[in-house]
Amino acid sequence: MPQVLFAFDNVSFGYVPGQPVFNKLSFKIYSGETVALLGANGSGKSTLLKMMSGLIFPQQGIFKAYGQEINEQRMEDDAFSQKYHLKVGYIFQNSEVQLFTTRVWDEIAYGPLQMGFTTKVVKQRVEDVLEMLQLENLRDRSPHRLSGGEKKKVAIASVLVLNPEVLILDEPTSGLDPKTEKWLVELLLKLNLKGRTIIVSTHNLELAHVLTTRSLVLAESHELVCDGLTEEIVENHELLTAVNLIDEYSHIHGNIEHIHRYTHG
Amino acid sequence: MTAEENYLQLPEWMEKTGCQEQVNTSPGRRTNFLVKSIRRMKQNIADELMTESFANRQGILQQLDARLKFVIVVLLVLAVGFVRSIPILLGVWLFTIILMRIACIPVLTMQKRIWGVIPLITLLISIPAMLNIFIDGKPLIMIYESTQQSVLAGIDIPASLYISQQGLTAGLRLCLRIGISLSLGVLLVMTTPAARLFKSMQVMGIPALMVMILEMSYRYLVLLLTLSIEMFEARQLRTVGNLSLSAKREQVGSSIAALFAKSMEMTDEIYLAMRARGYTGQAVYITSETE
Repeated sequence: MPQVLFAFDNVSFGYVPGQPVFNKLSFKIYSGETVALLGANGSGKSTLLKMMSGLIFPQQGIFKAYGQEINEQRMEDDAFSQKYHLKVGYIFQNSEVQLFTTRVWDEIAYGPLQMGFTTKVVKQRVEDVLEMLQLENLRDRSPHRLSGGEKKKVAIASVLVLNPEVLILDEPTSGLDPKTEKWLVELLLKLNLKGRTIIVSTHNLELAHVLTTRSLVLAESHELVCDGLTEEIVENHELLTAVNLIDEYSHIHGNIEHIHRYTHG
Repeated sequence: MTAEENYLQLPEWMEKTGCQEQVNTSPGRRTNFLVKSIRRMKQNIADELMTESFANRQGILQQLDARLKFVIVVLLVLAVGFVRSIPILLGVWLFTIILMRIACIPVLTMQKRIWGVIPLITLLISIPAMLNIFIDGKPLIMIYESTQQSVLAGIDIPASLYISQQGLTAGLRLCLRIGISLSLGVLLVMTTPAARLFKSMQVMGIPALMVMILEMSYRYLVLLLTLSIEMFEARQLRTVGNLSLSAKREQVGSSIAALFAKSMEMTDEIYLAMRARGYTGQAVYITSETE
């Protein structure tokens, strides 16, 4: 029986009173799962991921991770927070925000150094990750001068170096070229095979299909409208249209009118 | 192994989940400066959203023309600067409270914010100026009294030192003027959408280019604030415990550098985006959508 990693019980959150980012969400995520959070822009996907990462906390309801309630007071405890961030890795949609040092090597070493790994382990891990992601030739480069795909790789490396059990990725393929996108999917699938739980937010249905087995669909009304198998959800055009993940447009060839589905992502 | 064989080959320590190495936890609870900074920045964003939502409500003040409101507020602020009568100043303050109520703005919350910081600090720092050595008058609060005047290190020490009634009145007047001016500014900002507020500045003869720069600064200030929050969050995820002062300095320094580099890159891109849409250095504007 897989372990319950995250449990949401009627959780609501909003930055401004009266304007919820999501409302009364209840669901569980189990260890070893690959889960996609699907929803149009502004449906609350990123905020939900930040809550799972222990960056923001419910205003109503209870959010539990590894069986323990996560709230601001608990995350202020250093030992707990350290354990949590070692287990749960978060990769931001905008890689720029994750990269703040002046060298790629330092960027990757930053996390393990902060977490208190010994210098020997830090060096070993950084070298291993650089080799695995084939970033050795970028080690002395400034992260700000890299291409979008390279920045994404460095951002992923800076989290993978901590070897988290759960990998949370916000819109991981946005702005990536097809080759880097394929690379990322292969990497995530491989990590999942080795027992990592993968949670991604996306409105790219193809990515959700190839990467995840389960999907949670958030509507523009900030509510969870579906929780099921990804392969079934991506075929449910009525649902996807209702949550604004696909659209239809028509055009005419001679006397025949065609209707095409337009997918985001 | 060749690079091809190494492709996505997980290192040994990544084959298993969990942390195999010993890590040094710093004990105690965290009152991390990163957490505090993030909280403060998020509050600013929430305030900005709140202001915009009030400005878009259907109140009487919200319906008024932005240019008219701007002119009235500027004239009222000037008038308040000249008025000396405390009762009149109190009357104007009451008037701003009534206007806030009419505009559906939470009066109590706003009053706390307006009077809680700047006017209060002004009152405190103006206390020395209320003393009889600066503004002489009827004694109100006696601090020191002696039978004769003395000289200390060549400085004449007065026989008595007190807060005079006239001094206190002057301090109160200054505090009221600042608080009322702030109230008027808050009223203007909270009942006018930012875009219209900036456009309305042109009625006062502020050049279009200056208005455009102000408008862009406001827009990108919010964007940079959002970017800063995410930068600090990314750092928070990889930081544990209370950092030493030098580590904090290092972190703040590198954050400033990274943000500066990003804003410089953004500046170039914004300029190119403007050029791509025909900008030649002259800001062309219409002051009203109906013109």
